[in-house]
Amino acid sequence: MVVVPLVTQDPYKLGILIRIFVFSILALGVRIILLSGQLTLGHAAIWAVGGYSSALLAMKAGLPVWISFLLSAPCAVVAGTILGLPTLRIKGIYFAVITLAFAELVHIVIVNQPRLLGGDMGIRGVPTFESMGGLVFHDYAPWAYYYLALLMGGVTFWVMWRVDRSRLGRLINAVREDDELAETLGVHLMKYKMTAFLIGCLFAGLAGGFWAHYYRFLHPSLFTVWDSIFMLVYVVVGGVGSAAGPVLGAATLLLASEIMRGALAWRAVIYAVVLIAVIFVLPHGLLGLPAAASRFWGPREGRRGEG
Amino acid sequence: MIQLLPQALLSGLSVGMIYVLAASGLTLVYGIMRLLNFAHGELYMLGGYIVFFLFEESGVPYVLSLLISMVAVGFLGVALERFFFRPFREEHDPSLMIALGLLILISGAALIAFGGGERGVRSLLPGTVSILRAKVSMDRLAVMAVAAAIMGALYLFLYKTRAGRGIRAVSQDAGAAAMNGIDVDRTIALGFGLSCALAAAAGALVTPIYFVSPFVGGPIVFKALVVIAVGGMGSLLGAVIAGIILGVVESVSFMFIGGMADAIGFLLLILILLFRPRGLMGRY
Amino acid sequence: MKRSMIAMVGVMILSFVLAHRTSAAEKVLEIGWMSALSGPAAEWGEAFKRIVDIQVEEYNAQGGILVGGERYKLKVIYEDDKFTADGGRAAAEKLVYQDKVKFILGSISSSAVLAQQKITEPNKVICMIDGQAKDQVSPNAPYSFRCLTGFREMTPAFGELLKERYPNLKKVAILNPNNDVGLDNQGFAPKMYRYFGLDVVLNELYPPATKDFATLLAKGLAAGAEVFDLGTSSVGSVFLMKKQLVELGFTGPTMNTASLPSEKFVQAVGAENVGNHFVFGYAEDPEHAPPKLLPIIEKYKQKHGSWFPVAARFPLFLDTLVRGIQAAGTVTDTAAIRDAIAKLQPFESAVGMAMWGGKETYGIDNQMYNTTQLLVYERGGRQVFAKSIPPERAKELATAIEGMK
Repeated sequence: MVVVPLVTQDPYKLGILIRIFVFSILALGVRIILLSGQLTLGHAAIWAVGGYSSALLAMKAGLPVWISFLLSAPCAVVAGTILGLPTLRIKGIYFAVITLAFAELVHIVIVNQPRLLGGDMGIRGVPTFESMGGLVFHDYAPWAYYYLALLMGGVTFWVMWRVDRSRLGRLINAVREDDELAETLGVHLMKYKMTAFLIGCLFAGLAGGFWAHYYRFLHPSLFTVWDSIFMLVYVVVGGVGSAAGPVLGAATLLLASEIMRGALAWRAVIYAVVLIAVIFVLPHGLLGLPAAASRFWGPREGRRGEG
Repeated sequence: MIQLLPQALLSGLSVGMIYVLAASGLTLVYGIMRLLNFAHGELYMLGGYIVFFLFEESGVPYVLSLLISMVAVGFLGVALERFFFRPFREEHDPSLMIALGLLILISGAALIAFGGGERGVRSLLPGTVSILRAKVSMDRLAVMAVAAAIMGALYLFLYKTRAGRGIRAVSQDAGAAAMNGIDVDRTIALGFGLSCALAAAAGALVTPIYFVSPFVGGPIVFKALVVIAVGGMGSLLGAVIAGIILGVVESVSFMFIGGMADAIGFLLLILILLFRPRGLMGRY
Repeated sequence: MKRSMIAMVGVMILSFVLAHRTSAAEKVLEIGWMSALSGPAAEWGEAFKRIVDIQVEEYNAQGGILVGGERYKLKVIYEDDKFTADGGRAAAEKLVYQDKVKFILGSISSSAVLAQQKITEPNKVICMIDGQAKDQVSPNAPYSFRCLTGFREMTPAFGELLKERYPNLKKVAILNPNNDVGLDNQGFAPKMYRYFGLDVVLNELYPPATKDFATLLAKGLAAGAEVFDLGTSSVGSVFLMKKQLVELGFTGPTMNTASLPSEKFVQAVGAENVGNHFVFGYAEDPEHAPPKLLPIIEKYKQKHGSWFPVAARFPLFLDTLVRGIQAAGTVTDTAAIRDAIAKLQPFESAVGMAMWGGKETYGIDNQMYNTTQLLVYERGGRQVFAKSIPPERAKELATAIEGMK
């Protein structure tokens, strides 16, 4: 991954990879929230909060881009707190619908504030990262963005990986698996749901900040409910069992979608067929591929032996 | 402005009935399968297209077209359940993905097959009536009446027939139902088929007053989702009340705040769920 | 067995290579194209693609276009931009960086163009666009040329028609969807009506997904509206608004700017209800139709069964580009071609006389003005010619109205 820009400088190809990194970060966020037992359909709205706040801080408050970019994380966490505090006690599908309503509300607010938030015309000319050391951030040579995105993705992945293996991770899982039992054992449910939720929001915010200063153009249509839904698809298709899952899911589906460009109107149909086929073969995600493959092509003796 | 209130209420009521019909199928599926069937809107869309091709293009009488669309889509639903959902019955996440996959597949296929444009059908009944200074077309009244009739029939089916009671039993506790001799597989197939038929009915009824296109499925699923969350999962009465409330609230807030009218519905949803976390009448 | 296999494979490879070898002398000019081929705007994109296909076929049948003494066959690379900003960016990235085209036809979606220009302008890729957002034509985007007229260029014709045909009607209700173009029109339309001495009694935005307009329309009627301007509403919304206006008992003049698929409109609203609805389109009868349009309609019908009215506006894109390339005498120097396009003199196109303009409004003369025609639906569904204004008049009116406060 690190050497890719040495092989190609093509902004189109690097752009695809950058997109995969960003969506991996978002999907990892959805995953950790899912692990705490909550299904969110509003993650794209948190992503939008990160993006818009970073853009506005840089453009209206005149902050250096690196600062406003980093501030996108706390802004997203605040938004997540506003959303999560009253609602995380609600479970299952009802919570999912609330996140959906929240996402739509964010969308409506953006569209109806043309002066402040650009409305449906969007915000143009968002400034980009100031050069640092040898890294120059420039539209035509996106390798700097690539490394930044790679770094962010790497950090997010590492954090999620560590959380999985930590006590925090175990408690988050416990809260999902059997919340009544966890409660009787003294686990404070809301605390762990909030923690998982806010971790997800933090990274979504950063991803938003990055997106704003990379795309340099913000528009409500970039952050829709469908984007939230696709983040969930990447998690499930990749596999929820490990932090590698969402990354795998995002990479596979985004690459497949790009490769199928030439199919024009048939792209959607083929994509759907691929999605359904993958679920049928690997219901628990692509993470199950090695195990399934070894079962399929396993040593003959073993299979015969089972008689 | 206040003199427009009767118009807003009447329009809201007609829109609300459509929401009710669309939501009833969705809550039924959730009840028997604990699945949020995202593909529900696509069946609604297919119901609309069947009516378009039969009634508008081929001159088949409307009521017959409506019935055919319900039956055809109902059988399609049974097939979908058997081949796409049954393998993942107990597993939530894969089922959700299958539903999403079907959504993308059916709307994508519809675009290729039917073209992207909006298609309308001719009027069912001519004329407009005035009720308390509000005008409503005969078409809308007819649609409301038929929707109400279908909901009535649904209620009778679920509460007065053996098959219907079976569906309710499985919704409550599939294991217990099985132990009481209910064929769970058959019941779920029936329930899913029924929900698809209801979706088709909603789509078929909406087409004369609006239009049908390959893209009408997505928005209606989100609306129906809001309705069943507010009404409460598994509650038919909740869906009826919530659907009508949503329709009327949208219409009235449109009158007063124009562009941001949509926001009211979502705010209402969040408020209601905060105070009643299972919706107004939710069971699960 | 093995040897014959190798021989077979060898023959296959050889024939494959031979079949794809083009003659050394044949030059190909690759042109990019982006528009919606999926999603709700797919019909428009499909029509756009079909028109370009017909044009390319014609050019290539003549051996290609003649530029600086050489003949170039045209090859178009089609990309789906899904009519969104994100899709526009992805399509532009592929076309510019991967396929390395120097010319792009499209996009026709405002948000896709916004994203597209960020890539095409710095890379000096010439784009023939139609985003309706105002600032997509600007001195900051010298390589973008807007080939379709927008509401600023078209709607004054309707104001003039109202004065001529319905001098007794004074009150207008204006409805626009709450999106970028709708917001823009909401600001422009009242000025236009005031210019013609009419009163605006309602000027509102509605959420784009609205299906039930009864309340909004009733509001307009309560305010005394005699004319309903449906603004930049989408095709589906127009179907609904017209139908619901009739339900409320309104039979006065109505208008919208988006091009309507004629038969579907009549079918959706009902033939007895479409009367008095004005649209911007092009007459198809020999007396009123722009002369260059008729052969295109014929060819389109031959290939695709029926004509799609909005398609009339699409031949301009490639035609203008080809004229510019030929005037510049080069296929590679985009700066020179850009200048050549900008300097094109008025020419007869599929949609009547076409000329550049717009400096007073947009800051640069990269907006195409052409003959604007208004058609009106009669009760029963027939569409008849209502009015035609030449581009000079359209320019005049647009400038005067924009200048009003």
